[in-house]
Amino acid sequence: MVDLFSGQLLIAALVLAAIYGLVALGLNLIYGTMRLLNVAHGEILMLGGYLAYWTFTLTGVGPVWSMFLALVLAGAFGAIVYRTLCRRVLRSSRLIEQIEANSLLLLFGVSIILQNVIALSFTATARAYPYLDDIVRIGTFQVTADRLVVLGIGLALCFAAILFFRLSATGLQIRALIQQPDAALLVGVDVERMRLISFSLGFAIAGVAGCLISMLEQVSPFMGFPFTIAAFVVIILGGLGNLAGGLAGAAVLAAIEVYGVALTTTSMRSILIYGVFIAVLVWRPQGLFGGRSMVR
Amino acid sequence: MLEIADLSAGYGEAGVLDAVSLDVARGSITALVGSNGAGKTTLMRTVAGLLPVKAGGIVFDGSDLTRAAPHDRVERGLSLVPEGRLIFPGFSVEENLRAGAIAPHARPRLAARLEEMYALFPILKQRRRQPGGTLSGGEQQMLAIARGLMSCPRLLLLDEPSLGLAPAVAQSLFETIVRIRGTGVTVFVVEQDIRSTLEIADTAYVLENGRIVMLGTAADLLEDPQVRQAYLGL
Repeated sequence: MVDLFSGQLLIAALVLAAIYGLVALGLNLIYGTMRLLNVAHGEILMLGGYLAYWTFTLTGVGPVWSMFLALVLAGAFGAIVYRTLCRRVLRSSRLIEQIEANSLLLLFGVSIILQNVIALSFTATARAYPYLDDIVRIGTFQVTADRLVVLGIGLALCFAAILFFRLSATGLQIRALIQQPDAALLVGVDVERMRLISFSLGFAIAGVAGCLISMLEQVSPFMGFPFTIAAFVVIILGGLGNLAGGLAGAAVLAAIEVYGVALTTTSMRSILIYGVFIAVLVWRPQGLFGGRSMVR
Repeated sequence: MLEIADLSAGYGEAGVLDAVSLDVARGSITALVGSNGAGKTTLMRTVAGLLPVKAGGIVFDGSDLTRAAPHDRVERGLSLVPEGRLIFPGFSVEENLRAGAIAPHARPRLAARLEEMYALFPILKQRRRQPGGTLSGGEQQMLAIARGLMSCPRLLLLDEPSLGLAPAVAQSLFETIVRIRGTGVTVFVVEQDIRSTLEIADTAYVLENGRIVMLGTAADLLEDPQVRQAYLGL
């Protein structure tokens, strides 16, 4: 019988929650502000992972530092993708259904291209690097230092993001745009600018998440997709467009995954995630928290 | 102050507005009345920049707004309180008002403006922490108007403000519109409650099927036999 109250499981769940929270935040931001489902989100994370891997392997500089580079590069990449590809789709299609369908195809294309460019450049072999893997003892349980670092940085970023959206003028404008796009235009939100910022910010967070994940898992060209799926589940749990709800959704999914696997077997992992996905869509499509169509 | 010349606009291929021309004089309450589907809301949304202009022009205070982005129009002092209010349901009353002052020129005046709005609508002050979506219809309309005023507009556009309100609430709303004009804000209002609107307006236009069919002082239109028969049921 597994000890459900062990510190290891708790840390594992918290680490996963912080990662899911970060990945889902960017996806939610992009969906909320422009109704684009960024199916290439996991690939941005994968690029962040490779950046951390190569920076460490070639120069010895760890992901705690290369994540700043990932933040800038992924953010710039987001701005380029938005300006060159997504803005066209947003302009040429008038109906929201068309925007969703067109963007899905477009970003699937981006996703496949990125996977294969990386596979061509660095082969499909999974890679890992040793970083901060010494064991830390806290009271009665032991964890590797990298997990604690990922947990600390991940949680700090999640809370920084929440504070940014709650307190800054830009955050207020982005939340207004998510809630009521027409009203946001009417109060004077520069929608084009907010979309660019959201896209860039969403990619930047995914890039940083990739650096963090590379400390714990192997990087490979195809590592991103499961995270995209998990992020979808998280934002559906938390409510589409509800940024704070997404963080709570991340905690719920991480707990189900970690404790579910501990009680059963590792092979149950995907079944658990998709099971939660389907259950929520059937019983609470508006998300676990918020009321009817309430977005905060 | 606002000059609309030969404006054509609408959704998709079908035009809703057909060469509409009208002027809103500074300091006035100008009304645009007409039946459902006449194109009143289309005109308001086009002036605010939510819908593109197909032909014609919009000049506000001497500058051409025909192709300006919606946020540029707010920055120049134009604000629309839309049909259906479109408040932010998940934001508290105060957050709704803060969002109203997002335009760069309005931000430094946020705190003072907030107090002015609470003085104009005391009920909003009582409800400041409550989510906008939980307010009653009349309170939501006050919130929408207050949010529209937060950007310190010189011209306030009101689209069907009395829609869905109880008669007593609607009556106090028309009194509020007069008070807003008293603070130096020009008001351009679209309404279906034609009698109450003509009673507070200076100038009025009648829109039918996307065209202006009548214009004059509000007092004259109230006495006009055609208006009385077609719109006032007399």
